[in-house]
Amino acid sequence: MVTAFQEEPDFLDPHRTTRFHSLVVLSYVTEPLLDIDPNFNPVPLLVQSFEWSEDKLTLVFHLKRGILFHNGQEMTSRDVKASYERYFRLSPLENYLGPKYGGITEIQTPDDYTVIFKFANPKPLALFHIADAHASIMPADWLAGMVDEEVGVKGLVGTGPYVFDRWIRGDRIVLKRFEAYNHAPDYMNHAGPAYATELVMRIIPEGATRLAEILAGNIDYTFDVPLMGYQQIAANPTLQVKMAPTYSVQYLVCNMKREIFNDKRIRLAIAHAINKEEIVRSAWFGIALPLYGLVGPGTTGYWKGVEEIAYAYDLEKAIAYLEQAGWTTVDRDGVRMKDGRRLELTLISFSNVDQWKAAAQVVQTQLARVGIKVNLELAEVGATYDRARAANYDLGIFRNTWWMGQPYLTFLTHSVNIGSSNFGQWKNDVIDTLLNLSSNALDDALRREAFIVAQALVVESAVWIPLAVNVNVMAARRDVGGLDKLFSHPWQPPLMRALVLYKQ
Amino acid sequence: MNQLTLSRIVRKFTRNRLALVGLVFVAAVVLTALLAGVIAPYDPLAMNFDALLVSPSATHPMGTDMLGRDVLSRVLYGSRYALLIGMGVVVLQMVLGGILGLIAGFVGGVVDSLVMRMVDIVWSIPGLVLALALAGALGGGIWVMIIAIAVTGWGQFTRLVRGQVLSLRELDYITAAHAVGAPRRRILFRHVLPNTLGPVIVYTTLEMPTAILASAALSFLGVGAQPPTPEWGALIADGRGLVGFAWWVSTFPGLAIMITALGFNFVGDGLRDVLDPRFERRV
Repeated sequence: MVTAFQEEPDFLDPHRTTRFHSLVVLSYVTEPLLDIDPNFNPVPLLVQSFEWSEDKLTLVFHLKRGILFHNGQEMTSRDVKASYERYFRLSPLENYLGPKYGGITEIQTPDDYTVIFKFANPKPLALFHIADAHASIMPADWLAGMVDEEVGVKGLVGTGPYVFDRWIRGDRIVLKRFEAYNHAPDYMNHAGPAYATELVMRIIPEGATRLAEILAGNIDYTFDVPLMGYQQIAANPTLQVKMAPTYSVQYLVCNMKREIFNDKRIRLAIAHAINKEEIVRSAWFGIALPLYGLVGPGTTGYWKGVEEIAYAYDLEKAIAYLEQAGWTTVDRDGVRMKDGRRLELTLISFSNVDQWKAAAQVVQTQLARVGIKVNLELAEVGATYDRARAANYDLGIFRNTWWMGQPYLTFLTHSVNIGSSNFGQWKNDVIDTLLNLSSNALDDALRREAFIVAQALVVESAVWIPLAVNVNVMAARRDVGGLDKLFSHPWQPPLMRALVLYKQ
Repeated sequence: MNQLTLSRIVRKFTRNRLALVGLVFVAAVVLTALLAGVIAPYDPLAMNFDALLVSPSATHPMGTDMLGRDVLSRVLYGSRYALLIGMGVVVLQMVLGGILGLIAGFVGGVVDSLVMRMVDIVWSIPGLVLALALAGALGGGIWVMIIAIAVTGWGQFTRLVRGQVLSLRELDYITAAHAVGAPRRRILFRHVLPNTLGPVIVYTTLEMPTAILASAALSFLGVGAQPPTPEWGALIADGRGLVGFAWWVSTFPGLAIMITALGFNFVGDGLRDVLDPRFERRV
């Protein structure tokens, strides 16, 4: 089974990498204790069961027996302890579970198949973080014999359905089927081993080359479909195309430090003037979905109700709001005026990605329809983020990616993140309180409810105007089977579930 | 330049077929720039979301881009930016480089050394890389791009003018002007400057396409014209990922750049043939 990667992984160490393509490879080779099922519930993967103490300060895992690492060693509690200690020590993504964050302060291993996590404070989202592929388990003895920088470079040992075989830099990574694999989660309906005997990940960064290889039938399946080649691939009878939403969302944001946006009617006018369908059809070639809330449908905790409450495209409403706000006259360029001032706004975004560049231009055109002149100031990523952090803009188009809804919404909208990632630059006490509750409340129902209301308030504020959610596009040869199974999971289809792919 | 000289220049220029072809190209670009508002079939910024990436047809002779904008209209309006940038760059280079060359050549000594070392420094840095860095640092946009390209290319004008001045100042009529007590400023601007113009005009014509190509490169790299400005380099960048199935998005702006660059080069070569006395002797 041959797949194509747009990007070469940096290194294949689950505890150190932050790259998506590294995570994809790793998810075939190494595994965390838990997995997330299609309904976003944490489910056992390497464990038989788990239970919380009443005070939610102790979490006990009972490991599955007979789980083998690729080096033939059986996985025990010692391996879990060593892996977690290394994960806490090294991972740039670890910002919740570890002792630094008031999480797990002690890991006890009373016997080979029991692991006890002792928490300093309750961590209601702990199970989701434990299901993160970055918190994967590797053999303690093997780790002890490696310096940190060698893991995932010189070798990699895990419990996953594929064994790391070789990595030819700039060319390919080859994985072999792990014949002893037999513990895939129940929702897969196939415990293992994987159907395909070998996975070859060819690294082809250039979009046109990747497209040519896909069209030539040299790639069995890939998630890195060049968007500009989608039409050609879809029209090719030897290929099949599948789509699923990802958790990567794009949004327009109003900088609340700019006085003009203190009048909510201006924000509402902008929200109603935006036609998400047009943006998706043009900037993303139709290979994305309109986004209604700031948390996307591929993210844990997504509340579908945002689709009902999101501000719909309605030019009459947009114009009415502007007129109510006093922007009644229009100059000869069609720009609205109030007290001799033109309704002119700057919009920042990234110049290096065609989709954002196009989306910014479409937003400019759409706002011009209601008399708002937008000046685009697109620059490379670093310069744009510098401006965003300095709040030096009126409007911005940004993208963010995180599969866990709660920390993601906190990242984007909590007032503690003003000056870093809250590009609305807006402090709203109610949203802050709801986000705190949705993170810390021990009562599951309360936590969920708080998160739903937080999502609703964010949409209602019209400070953040969701635009589009990226879609995972998979192109595969017609003779590749198991794709439906792969897409039965709404979240992160590229991960791990490749074990059900086969060639007819 | 008397009537006789001018008619001799025109006669010689028109005998050069390539130069005439170049003149036609340049004239076409200039006319297009002047009349873009009249001849363009659509507003170059108007998006039609029902006509995304439409291939060339009677309705859209050069097709549409990914946002449904008419490529022909964008290419026609793009000629304005090409000429604006080309002329802006060469005028800035000519003024800055010319004045420095004039001073260096006429004053000589330490001033001359200082100016020429400045030229050496600027020349030691690859032009496009310097322009890229400057445009990136200053934030992009048409005017920033003009300044960034001009800053990297004035040295050639300085060398050219300095060389002319050095040879002119030894001529008898300049010595005579000094002898009769003419002020230095009068000698410089009345007798020296006008006689350096021939090679400067030739070089200006040859520098135009270089400036246009450099601006296209900067826009292609994303530090030039801001969207949705229909600048040719930016238009090519818009279509670079679409070449496999929407070749028209990049191809037509590319052709426009090629025709413009060729036109100015041919005209420049033709002018050099008639204005450069050394070339005349060789002929």
